Amino acid sequence: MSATTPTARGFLTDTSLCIGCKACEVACKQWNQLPMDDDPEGGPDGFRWEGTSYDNTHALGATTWRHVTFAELPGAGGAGGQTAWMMMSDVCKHCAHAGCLEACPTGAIIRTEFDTVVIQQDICNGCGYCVPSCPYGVVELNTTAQSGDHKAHKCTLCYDRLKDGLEPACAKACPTDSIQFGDLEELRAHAERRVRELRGRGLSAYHYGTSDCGGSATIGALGASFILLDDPARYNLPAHPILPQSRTFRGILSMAVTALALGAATAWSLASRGEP
Amino acid sequence: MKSDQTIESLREAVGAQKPQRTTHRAGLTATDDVRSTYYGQPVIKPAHWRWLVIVYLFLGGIAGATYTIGTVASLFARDRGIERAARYIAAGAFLPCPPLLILDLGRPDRFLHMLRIVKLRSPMSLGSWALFFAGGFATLSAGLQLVADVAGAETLRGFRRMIGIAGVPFSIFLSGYTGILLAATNVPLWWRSFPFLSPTFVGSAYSTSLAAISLFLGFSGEREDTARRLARAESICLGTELAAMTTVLIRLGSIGRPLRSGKLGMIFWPVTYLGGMVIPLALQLPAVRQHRSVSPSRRRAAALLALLGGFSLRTLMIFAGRESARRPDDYFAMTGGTEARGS
Repeated sequence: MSATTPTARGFLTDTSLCIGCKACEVACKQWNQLPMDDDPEGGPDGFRWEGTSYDNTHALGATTWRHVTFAELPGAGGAGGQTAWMMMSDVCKHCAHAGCLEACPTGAIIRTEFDTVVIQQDICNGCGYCVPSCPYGVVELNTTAQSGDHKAHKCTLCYDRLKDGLEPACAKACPTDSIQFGDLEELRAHAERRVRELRGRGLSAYHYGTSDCGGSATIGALGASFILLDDPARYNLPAHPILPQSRTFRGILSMAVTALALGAATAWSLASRGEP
Repeated sequence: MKSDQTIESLREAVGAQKPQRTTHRAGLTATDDVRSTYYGQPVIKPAHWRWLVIVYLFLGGIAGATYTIGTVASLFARDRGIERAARYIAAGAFLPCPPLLILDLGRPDRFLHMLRIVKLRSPMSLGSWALFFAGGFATLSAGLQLVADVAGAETLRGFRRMIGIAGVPFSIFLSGYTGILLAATNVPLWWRSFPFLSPTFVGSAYSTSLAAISLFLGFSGEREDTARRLARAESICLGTELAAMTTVLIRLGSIGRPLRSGKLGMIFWPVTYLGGMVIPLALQLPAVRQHRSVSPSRRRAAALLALLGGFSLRTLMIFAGRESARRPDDYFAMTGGTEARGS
């Protein structure tokens, strides 16, 4: 477990408590004044029906910073073959080593005093390189037709609320305390206790967001971690994601070697003498 | 869950109820399948790049490689026309690059923010600075070349050579960094092609640059020695590009499907692979190996095909990447379960 600053804050989203009410989605949109999703493939109101159970937001994005997933598992809900509901409130993971932060060429994406990852909107110029660099598909450019500012947006962990000593809007709204907010080390300790408790009750619970699972050796641990009950892919999460910038230097090496070799070959071809 | 543990073994260990097998429904695969996806929804998001960036990839590679070739020619070649061609082409290829990138930004008015910081692990940060300096050198060298063309070939020769050498680290970086730029993302097709995508782009930059220089110098009979030498250099670069591209395809396996099959595959094989690499090589290599001259018509055909192929390579790589990002199965193959790859 990596050392964190004394003021490090984060989320622990316990899916065993989630009731799928989407209060978190609503509170997030309301506090951050996010527009409704303007999906170009949807109808006039931007809605897109895709047979994804009660999930109408489909993914995190520039205007959706909390997204509740609904995976239905027929036959997994106990005696009599009831359906089990895998509901999870997805959010930016605020990684210890964030792909978006490493990619950002303007320095717009920073790590705050709360150990969270935030995009400074007055610096971002919308190059969009952070978008494919996020291992979890969180950050996105806002290209909505009416209100899009073509800059990158994602969960700020309610940085403005934290500065005033308040908890994030989603954590405050969650009626079951599935979304817990607090000191990062305390949350991680609580996660371990809770996982043991759930396993004692016969649930295949585990902590997603350690450097072992959910995070990785290159990403580190996640500031926003989860207690999951099934395969990460069931929640549209990668089990062992990679920090894509971990290869930059080796990439430069392979590029330099090739370029120098071809330059030398060209020099040899242009210079060699004694041929008919 | 430990990194080598599966959900099945965890269920067994805690005595959890095993879900019953279900029939396949759209998006949801059978519950026993480890590689299940969330309704077939993509996991990651693609880069928004399209034609502005594709044209930049093509021209930036040529700008960087022609500049390097120009410096090499100034030091090693007898024919001064090669350096002259290279300097003008480098500047000409560079000039559209900043406008292309600036227009692609979400907020073009903030393009100077690219020069606020240097982030050593961000290929885009390094590339922005490399473009800035390489462009400066390319413009300067072209200007000096113009002076020499007007005032005499020996004018400022030592100074010109020095500037040419100083610019080479930046032009080398410019010619190939875009391969690293793509590979340092989570897009499966780009990520899995590492470390051979960048050598493919470098090889393509050099082969298209030599093709451009050949076209610039023309195919009249005056420069037969030069033509032979350029054809030989181009053959080496084409061979390198072909080897690197083939290695990429082999490494990608099924993740390479967006590129090598489907709609993009119908363009990739005839235009990029055969037209851009195999045929230009086949047209020139036999004569090169026998130290003979390649006929002007063959050289012209090879040059045009190489340029078209190089442009199609960038185009298809970008579009294949967009498609690859939409495939959750490929991403989970890259990041899931006990088959985790990468560092």
